[in-house]
Amino acid sequence: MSASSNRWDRNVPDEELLRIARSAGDAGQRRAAATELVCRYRDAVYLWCFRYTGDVDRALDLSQDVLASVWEKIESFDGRARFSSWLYSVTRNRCIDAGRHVSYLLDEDAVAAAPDRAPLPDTVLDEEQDEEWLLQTIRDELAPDEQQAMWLRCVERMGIDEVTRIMGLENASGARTVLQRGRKKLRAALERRKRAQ
Amino acid sequence: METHCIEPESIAAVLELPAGHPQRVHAETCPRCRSLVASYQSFVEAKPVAGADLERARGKLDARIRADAARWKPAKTPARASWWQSLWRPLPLLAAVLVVIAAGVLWMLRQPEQSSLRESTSPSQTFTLSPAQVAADGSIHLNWSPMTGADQYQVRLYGPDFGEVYRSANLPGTSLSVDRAALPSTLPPTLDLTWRVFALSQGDVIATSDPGSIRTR
Repeated sequence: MSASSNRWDRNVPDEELLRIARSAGDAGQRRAAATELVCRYRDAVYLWCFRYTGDVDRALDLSQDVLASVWEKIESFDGRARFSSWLYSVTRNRCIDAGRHVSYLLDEDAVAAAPDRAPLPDTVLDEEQDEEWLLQTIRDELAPDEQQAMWLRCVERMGIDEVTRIMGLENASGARTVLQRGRKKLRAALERRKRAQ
Repeated sequence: METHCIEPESIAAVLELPAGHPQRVHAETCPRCRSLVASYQSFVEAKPVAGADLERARGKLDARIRADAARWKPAKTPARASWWQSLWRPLPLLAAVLVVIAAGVLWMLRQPEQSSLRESTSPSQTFTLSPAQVAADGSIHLNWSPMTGADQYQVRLYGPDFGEVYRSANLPGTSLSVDRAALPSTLPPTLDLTWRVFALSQGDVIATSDPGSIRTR
Protein backbone atom coordinates (compact mmCIF):
# COMPACT_ATOMS: atom_id res chain seq x y z
CA MET A 1 0.00 0.00 0.00
CA SER A 2 1.27 3.43 -0.83
CA ALA A 3 1.95 5.95 1.88
CA SER A 4 0.03 8.48 -0.15
CA SER A 5 -3.54 9.00 1.00
CA ASN A 6 -4.70 9.41 -2.63
CA ARG A 7 -6.99 12.22 -1.57
CA TRP A 8 -5.13 14.73 -3.69
CA ASP A 9 -5.51 14.93 -7.41
CA ARG A 10 -2.21 14.59 -9.25
CA ASN A 11 -3.01 17.89 -10.95
CA VAL A 12 -2.90 19.84 -7.71
CA PRO A 13 0.36 21.80 -8.08
CA ASP A 14 3.21 21.24 -5.64
CA GLU A 15 2.96 24.86 -4.57
CA GLU A 16 -0.68 24.41 -3.53
CA LEU A 17 0.21 21.36 -1.44
CA LEU A 18 3.05 23.31 0.08
CA ARG A 19 0.72 26.18 0.88
CA ILE A 20 -1.69 23.83 2.66
CA ALA A 21 1.11 22.07 4.52
CA ARG A 22 2.39 25.42 5.77
CA SER A 23 -1.02 26.95 6.47
CA ALA A 24 -2.55 27.44 9.89
CA GLY A 25 -5.39 25.06 9.11
CA ASP A 26 -6.34 21.59 10.22
CA ALA A 27 -3.30 19.53 11.24
CA GLY A 28 -4.63 16.40 9.54
CA GLN A 29 -5.09 18.18 6.27
CA ARG A 30 -1.66 19.74 6.54
CA ARG A 31 -0.12 16.35 7.24
CA ALA A 32 -1.95 14.82 4.27
CA ALA A 33 -0.73 17.58 1.94
CA ALA A 34 2.85 17.20 3.12
CA THR A 35 2.65 13.41 2.76
CA GLU A 36 1.36 13.72 -0.80
CA LEU A 37 4.20 16.09 -1.64
CA VAL A 38 6.84 13.75 -0.24
CA CYS A 39 5.28 10.74 -2.00
CA ARG A 40 5.27 12.57 -5.33
CA TYR A 41 9.05 12.76 -5.26
CA ARG A 42 9.78 9.44 -3.56
CA ASP A 43 10.76 7.68 -6.80
CA ALA A 44 12.72 10.66 -8.12
CA VAL A 45 14.81 10.94 -4.96
CA TYR A 46 15.45 7.21 -4.72
CA LEU A 47 16.34 6.75 -8.39
CA TRP A 48 18.66 9.71 -8.26
CA CYS A 49 20.44 8.26 -5.24
CA PHE A 50 20.60 4.87 -6.93
CA ARG A 51 22.21 6.37 -10.03
CA TYR A 52 24.85 7.89 -7.81
CA THR A 53 25.62 4.85 -5.73
CA GLY A 54 24.62 1.92 -7.95
CA ASP A 55 23.65 0.19 -4.72
CA VAL A 56 20.08 -0.35 -3.49
CA ASP A 57 20.84 -0.21 0.23
CA ARG A 58 23.03 2.87 0.04
CA ALA A 59 20.46 4.56 -2.19
CA LEU A 60 17.73 3.75 0.35
CA ASP A 61 19.81 5.20 3.19
CA LEU A 62 20.51 8.38 1.27
CA SER A 63 16.94 8.84 0.09
CA GLN A 64 15.58 8.33 3.60
CA ASP A 65 17.93 11.07 4.80
CA VAL A 66 16.70 13.37 2.05
CA LEU A 67 13.01 12.69 2.70
CA ALA A 68 13.52 13.17 6.45
CA SER A 69 15.00 16.59 5.76
CA VAL A 70 11.84 17.53 3.84
CA TRP A 71 9.76 16.96 6.97
CA GLU A 72 12.23 19.06 8.96
CA LYS A 73 12.26 21.95 6.55
CA ILE A 74 8.83 22.01 4.99
CA GLU A 75 7.47 24.66 7.34
CA SER A 76 10.42 26.98 6.91
CA PHE A 77 10.60 26.56 3.14
CA ASP A 78 10.21 30.13 1.91
CA GLY A 79 8.75 29.28 -1.49
CA ARG A 80 11.20 31.39 -3.47
CA ALA A 81 12.38 28.31 -5.33
CA ARG A 82 10.11 25.71 -6.86
CA PHE A 83 9.72 22.72 -4.58
CA SER A 84 11.05 20.36 -7.28
CA SER A 85 14.30 22.24 -7.76
CA TRP A 86 14.73 22.76 -4.04
CA LEU A 87 14.38 19.03 -3.47
CA TYR A 88 16.69 18.33 -6.39
CA SER A 89 19.26 20.56 -4.76
CA VAL A 90 18.92 18.80 -1.38
CA THR A 91 19.23 15.37 -3.03
CA ARG A 92 22.17 16.41 -5.18
CA ASN A 93 24.06 17.90 -2.23
CA ARG A 94 23.45 14.81 -0.09
CA CYS A 95 24.74 12.55 -2.86
CA ILE A 96 27.77 14.72 -3.57
CA ASP A 97 28.64 14.73 0.14
CA ALA A 98 28.35 10.96 0.26
CA GLY A 99 30.29 10.37 -2.95
CA ARG A 100 34.02 9.92 -3.21
CA HIS A 101 36.40 12.38 -4.80
CA VAL A 102 36.70 12.08 -8.56
CA SER A 103 39.92 13.29 -10.13
CA TYR A 104 40.02 16.17 -12.54
CA LEU A 105 43.37 15.03 -13.83
CA LEU A 106 43.81 11.27 -13.72
CA ASP A 107 42.01 8.92 -16.08
CA GLU A 108 39.45 6.52 -14.64
CA ASP A 109 41.62 3.46 -15.20
CA ALA A 110 44.59 4.95 -13.31
CA VAL A 111 42.40 5.61 -10.28
CA ALA A 112 40.82 2.16 -10.41
CA ALA A 113 44.28 0.52 -10.50
CA ALA A 114 45.54 2.31 -7.37
CA PRO A 115 46.59 0.03 -4.45
CA ASP A 116 43.93 -0.34 -1.77
CA ARG A 117 45.69 1.20 1.21
CA ALA A 118 47.78 3.87 -0.47
CA PRO A 119 46.36 7.39 -0.66
CA LEU A 120 44.45 7.57 -3.90
CA PRO A 121 46.68 9.16 -6.54
CA ASP A 122 43.84 11.37 -7.75
CA THR A 123 43.38 12.88 -4.30
CA VAL A 124 47.08 13.61 -3.96
CA LEU A 125 47.43 15.07 -7.43
CA ASP A 126 44.27 17.15 -7.21
CA GLU A 127 45.10 18.44 -3.73
CA GLU A 128 48.36 19.78 -5.08
CA GLN A 129 46.39 21.97 -7.48
CA ASP A 130 44.30 25.00 -6.80
CA GLU A 131 40.73 23.97 -7.57
CA GLU A 132 39.88 27.45 -8.81
CA TRP A 133 42.71 27.16 -11.32
CA LEU A 134 41.44 23.76 -12.41
CA LEU A 135 37.89 25.01 -12.94
CA GLN A 136 39.09 28.10 -14.79
CA THR A 137 41.32 25.95 -16.99
CA ILE A 138 38.39 23.66 -17.74
CA ARG A 139 36.44 26.69 -18.91
CA ASP A 140 39.33 28.12 -20.93
CA GLU A 141 40.87 25.03 -22.52
CA LEU A 142 38.17 22.43 -22.98
CA ALA A 143 35.54 22.06 -25.69
CA PRO A 144 31.91 22.41 -24.51
CA ASP A 145 31.26 18.64 -24.47
CA GLU A 146 34.48 18.05 -22.51
CA GLN A 147 33.53 20.78 -20.04
CA GLN A 148 30.10 19.23 -19.57
CA ALA A 149 31.50 15.74 -19.04
CA MET A 150 34.11 17.01 -16.56
CA TRP A 151 31.49 18.97 -14.70
CA LEU A 152 29.11 16.03 -14.36
CA ARG A 153 31.84 13.54 -13.46
CA CYS A 154 34.19 15.54 -11.23
CA VAL A 155 31.94 18.17 -9.65
CA GLU A 156 28.57 16.41 -9.65
CA ARG A 157 30.38 13.08 -9.08
CA MET A 158 28.11 11.11 -11.34
CA GLY A 159 29.04 7.68 -12.62
CA ILE A 160 30.35 7.31 -16.16
CA ASP A 161 27.13 5.61 -17.28
CA GLU A 162 25.02 8.43 -15.93
CA VAL A 163 27.20 11.08 -17.59
CA THR A 164 26.90 9.13 -20.85
CA ARG A 165 23.12 8.98 -20.50
CA ILE A 166 22.65 12.64 -19.61
CA MET A 167 24.90 13.78 -22.46
CA GLY A 168 23.08 11.49 -24.90
CA LEU A 169 26.33 9.90 -26.10
CA GLU A 170 25.82 6.83 -28.22
CA ASN A 171 29.36 5.65 -28.97
CA ALA A 172 30.57 2.47 -27.27
CA SER A 173 32.93 4.15 -24.83
CA GLY A 174 30.38 6.78 -23.86
CA ALA A 175 31.65 9.64 -21.73
CA ARG A 176 34.93 7.83 -21.01
CA THR A 177 36.54 9.06 -24.25
CA VAL A 178 35.31 12.61 -23.80
CA LEU A 179 36.67 12.66 -20.26
CA GLN A 180 39.98 11.20 -21.34
CA ARG A 181 40.32 13.93 -23.98
CA GLY A 182 39.46 16.63 -21.44
CA ARG A 183 41.89 15.33 -18.84
CA LYS A 184 44.67 15.13 -21.40
CA LYS A 185 44.18 18.82 -22.17
CA LEU A 186 44.12 19.64 -18.46
CA ARG A 187 47.37 17.76 -17.84
CA ALA A 188 48.98 19.58 -20.75
CA ALA A 189 47.88 22.89 -19.27
CA LEU A 190 49.30 21.83 -15.91
CA GLU A 191 52.64 21.01 -17.54
CA ARG A 192 52.74 24.43 -19.20
CA ARG A 193 51.94 26.05 -15.88
CA LYS A 194 54.77 24.17 -14.14
CA ARG A 195 57.28 25.15 -16.82
CA ALA A 196 56.23 28.79 -16.54
CA GLN A 197 56.71 28.86 -12.75
CA MET B 1 25.55 43.00 -15.62
CA GLU B 2 27.09 39.65 -16.26
CA THR B 3 24.74 36.74 -16.34
CA HIS B 4 25.81 34.41 -13.57
CA CYS B 5 25.58 30.67 -13.47
CA ILE B 6 22.33 29.43 -12.02
CA GLU B 7 21.95 27.86 -8.60
CA PRO B 8 20.38 24.41 -8.43
CA GLU B 9 17.42 25.76 -6.43
CA SER B 10 16.61 28.23 -9.22
CA ILE B 11 16.59 25.82 -12.14
CA ALA B 12 12.83 25.34 -12.36
CA ALA B 13 12.27 29.10 -12.20
CA VAL B 14 14.86 29.72 -14.92
CA LEU B 15 13.23 27.12 -17.18
CA GLU B 16 9.94 28.99 -16.83
CA LEU B 17 11.45 32.23 -18.15
CA PRO B 18 10.67 33.38 -21.71
CA ALA B 19 12.92 31.80 -24.36
CA GLY B 20 15.03 34.90 -24.97
CA HIS B 21 15.57 35.86 -21.34
CA PRO B 22 19.32 36.28 -20.71
CA GLN B 23 19.35 33.85 -17.81
CA ARG B 24 17.56 31.17 -19.77
CA VAL B 25 19.88 31.70 -22.74
CA HIS B 26 22.83 31.38 -20.39
CA ALA B 27 21.41 28.17 -18.87
CA GLU B 28 21.12 26.69 -22.35
CA THR B 29 24.59 27.62 -23.53
CA CYS B 30 26.95 27.48 -20.53
CA PRO B 31 28.32 23.92 -20.20
CA ARG B 32 28.08 24.00 -16.43
CA CYS B 33 24.47 25.23 -16.40
CA ARG B 34 23.45 22.89 -19.23
CA SER B 35 24.76 20.05 -17.10
CA LEU B 36 22.72 21.18 -14.13
CA VAL B 37 19.59 21.58 -16.23
CA ALA B 38 20.07 18.12 -17.74
CA SER B 39 20.61 16.54 -14.36
CA TYR B 40 17.58 18.35 -12.88
CA GLN B 41 15.42 17.14 -15.76
CA SER B 42 16.72 13.64 -15.21
CA PHE B 43 15.75 13.96 -11.52
CA VAL B 44 12.22 15.10 -12.28
CA GLU B 45 11.62 12.51 -15.02
CA ALA B 46 12.59 9.74 -12.58
CA LYS B 47 12.92 7.11 -15.27
CA PRO B 48 13.39 3.60 -13.87
CA VAL B 49 16.96 2.33 -13.84
CA ALA B 50 17.98 -1.29 -14.35
CA GLY B 51 18.88 -2.96 -11.05
CA ALA B 52 17.27 -0.28 -8.89
CA ASP B 53 14.67 -2.70 -7.49
CA LEU B 54 12.15 0.13 -7.33
CA GLU B 55 9.27 -1.94 -5.94
CA ARG B 56 11.28 -2.99 -2.90
CA ALA B 57 12.51 0.56 -2.42
CA ARG B 58 8.95 1.92 -2.60
CA GLY B 59 7.84 -0.45 0.14
CA LYS B 60 10.64 0.64 2.46
CA LEU B 61 10.30 4.33 1.69
CA ASP B 62 6.52 4.28 2.08
CA ALA B 63 6.90 2.76 5.53
CA ARG B 64 9.39 5.47 6.42
CA ILE B 65 7.17 8.20 5.04
CA ARG B 66 4.20 6.93 7.08
CA ALA B 67 6.34 6.91 10.22
CA ASP B 68 7.71 10.40 9.52
CA ALA B 69 4.21 11.71 8.80
CA ALA B 70 2.89 10.30 12.07
CA ARG B 71 5.75 11.92 13.98
CA TRP B 72 5.44 15.26 12.20
CA LYS B 73 3.86 17.88 14.40
CA PRO B 74 2.93 20.88 12.31
CA ALA B 75 3.33 24.16 14.14
CA LYS B 76 0.03 25.77 15.12
CA THR B 77 0.93 28.77 13.03
CA PRO B 78 3.45 28.78 10.22
CA ALA B 79 6.91 30.16 10.97
CA ARG B 80 6.51 33.26 8.87
CA ALA B 81 3.12 34.16 10.34
CA SER B 82 4.49 35.51 13.62
CA TRP B 83 4.56 39.13 12.43
CA TRP B 84 0.84 39.23 11.90
CA GLN B 85 -0.01 37.75 15.27
CA SER B 86 0.50 41.23 16.68
CA LEU B 87 -2.43 42.37 14.54
CA TRP B 88 -4.77 40.53 16.88
CA ARG B 89 -4.06 43.01 19.64
CA PRO B 90 -7.18 45.18 20.17
CA LEU B 91 -6.08 48.45 18.55
CA PRO B 92 -4.54 47.08 15.34
CA LEU B 93 -7.50 44.72 15.03
CA LEU B 94 -10.00 47.55 15.31
CA ALA B 95 -8.04 49.62 12.78
CA ALA B 96 -7.85 46.69 10.39
CA VAL B 97 -11.60 46.05 10.64
CA LEU B 98 -12.34 49.72 9.92
CA VAL B 99 -9.99 49.73 6.93
CA VAL B 100 -11.60 46.58 5.53
CA ILE B 101 -15.10 48.00 5.95
CA ALA B 102 -14.09 51.30 4.34
CA ALA B 103 -12.36 49.53 1.46
CA GLY B 104 -15.39 47.30 0.95
CA VAL B 105 -17.78 50.27 0.86
CA LEU B 106 -15.55 52.16 -1.55
CA TRP B 107 -15.16 49.14 -3.74
CA MET B 108 -18.91 48.56 -3.92
CA LEU B 109 -19.55 52.22 -4.73
CA ARG B 110 -16.96 52.37 -7.48
CA GLN B 111 -17.29 48.99 -9.15
CA PRO B 112 -20.74 47.55 -8.56
CA GLU B 113 -20.64 45.42 -11.71
CA GLN B 114 -17.54 43.50 -10.77
CA SER B 115 -19.14 40.80 -8.67
CA SER B 116 -21.05 39.32 -11.57
CA LEU B 117 -17.96 39.30 -13.75
CA ARG B 118 -16.04 37.45 -11.09
CA GLU B 119 -18.55 34.65 -11.03
CA SER B 120 -17.80 33.79 -14.63
CA THR B 121 -14.06 33.86 -14.17
CA SER B 122 -12.07 30.72 -14.71
CA PRO B 123 -8.71 30.51 -12.89
CA SER B 124 -7.18 29.05 -16.00
CA GLN B 125 -7.70 32.23 -18.03
CA THR B 126 -4.48 33.99 -18.87
CA PHE B 127 -3.37 37.50 -19.63
CA THR B 128 -0.29 38.84 -21.30
CA LEU B 129 2.53 41.22 -20.49
CA SER B 130 3.77 43.90 -22.89
CA PRO B 131 7.55 44.29 -23.16
CA ALA B 132 8.86 46.32 -20.24
CA GLN B 133 10.14 49.82 -21.01
CA VAL B 134 13.03 51.35 -19.10
CA ALA B 135 13.32 55.14 -19.26
CA ALA B 136 16.56 57.11 -19.32
CA ASP B 137 16.13 57.96 -15.65
CA GLY B 138 15.98 54.26 -14.82
CA SER B 139 12.26 54.12 -14.10
CA ILE B 140 10.49 51.01 -15.32
CA HIS B 141 7.18 51.15 -17.18
CA LEU B 142 5.05 48.05 -17.24
CA ASN B 143 1.80 47.29 -19.06
CA TRP B 144 -0.33 44.19 -19.29
CA SER B 145 -3.63 43.12 -20.77
CA PRO B 146 -6.73 43.17 -18.57
CA MET B 147 -7.89 39.90 -17.06
CA THR B 148 -11.58 39.18 -17.11
CA GLY B 149 -12.92 39.11 -13.59
CA ALA B 150 -9.93 40.84 -12.02
CA ASP B 151 -10.63 43.97 -10.02
CA GLN B 152 -7.04 44.68 -9.08
CA TYR B 153 -3.52 43.70 -10.01
CA GLN B 154 -0.35 43.30 -8.08
CA VAL B 155 3.09 43.46 -9.69
CA ARG B 156 6.12 41.71 -8.26
CA LEU B 157 9.71 42.11 -9.40
CA TYR B 158 12.35 39.48 -8.77
CA GLY B 159 16.11 39.91 -8.74
CA PRO B 160 18.74 37.76 -10.46
CA ASP B 161 18.50 35.20 -7.64
CA PHE B 162 14.70 35.19 -7.95
CA GLY B 163 14.28 36.81 -4.59
CA GLU B 164 11.48 39.36 -4.57
CA VAL B 165 12.84 42.91 -4.79
CA TYR B 166 9.62 44.87 -5.24
CA ARG B 167 5.90 44.38 -4.68
CA SER B 168 3.38 46.96 -5.76
CA ALA B 169 0.25 47.94 -3.94
CA ASN B 170 -2.94 46.46 -5.38
CA LEU B 171 -3.61 48.45 -8.54
CA PRO B 172 -6.93 49.08 -10.26
CA GLY B 173 -5.36 49.60 -13.72
CA THR B 174 -3.16 47.67 -16.10
CA SER B 175 0.00 49.71 -16.00
CA LEU B 176 2.61 50.65 -13.48
CA SER B 177 5.70 52.83 -13.33
CA VAL B 178 8.35 51.88 -10.83
CA ASP B 179 10.95 54.45 -9.84
CA ARG B 180 14.44 53.10 -9.67
CA ALA B 181 14.59 54.43 -6.12
CA ALA B 182 11.86 51.96 -5.16
CA LEU B 183 14.24 49.05 -5.74
CA PRO B 184 16.82 48.05 -3.14
CA SER B 185 19.87 50.31 -3.35
CA THR B 186 22.14 47.28 -3.10
CA LEU B 187 21.22 46.17 -6.62
CA PRO B 188 23.70 47.08 -9.37
CA PRO B 189 22.57 49.72 -11.89
CA THR B 190 22.27 47.28 -14.78
CA LEU B 191 20.67 43.96 -14.09
CA ASP B 192 18.10 41.50 -15.34
CA LEU B 193 14.89 41.44 -13.39
CA THR B 194 11.87 39.23 -13.81
CA TRP B 195 8.34 40.48 -13.31
CA ARG B 196 4.98 38.89 -12.83
CA VAL B 197 1.48 40.26 -12.52
CA PHE B 198 -1.04 38.72 -10.17
CA ALA B 199 -4.68 39.29 -11.10
CA LEU B 200 -6.87 39.70 -8.03
CA SER B 201 -10.55 39.53 -7.38
CA GLN B 202 -11.69 40.73 -3.98
CA GLY B 203 -8.15 40.29 -2.78
CA ASP B 204 -7.76 36.69 -3.96
CA VAL B 205 -5.29 35.79 -6.70
CA ILE B 206 -7.29 34.42 -9.63
CA ALA B 207 -4.54 34.26 -12.24
CA THR B 208 -0.82 34.81 -12.60
CA SER B 209 0.92 36.02 -15.74
CA ASP B 210 3.86 34.28 -17.30
CA PRO B 211 7.12 35.90 -16.19
CA GLY B 212 8.50 38.82 -18.17
CA SER B 213 12.02 40.15 -18.25
CA ILE B 214 13.40 43.62 -17.62
CA ARG B 215 16.94 44.84 -18.20
CA THR B 216 17.52 47.91 -16.06
CA ARG B 217 20.04 50.64 -16.67
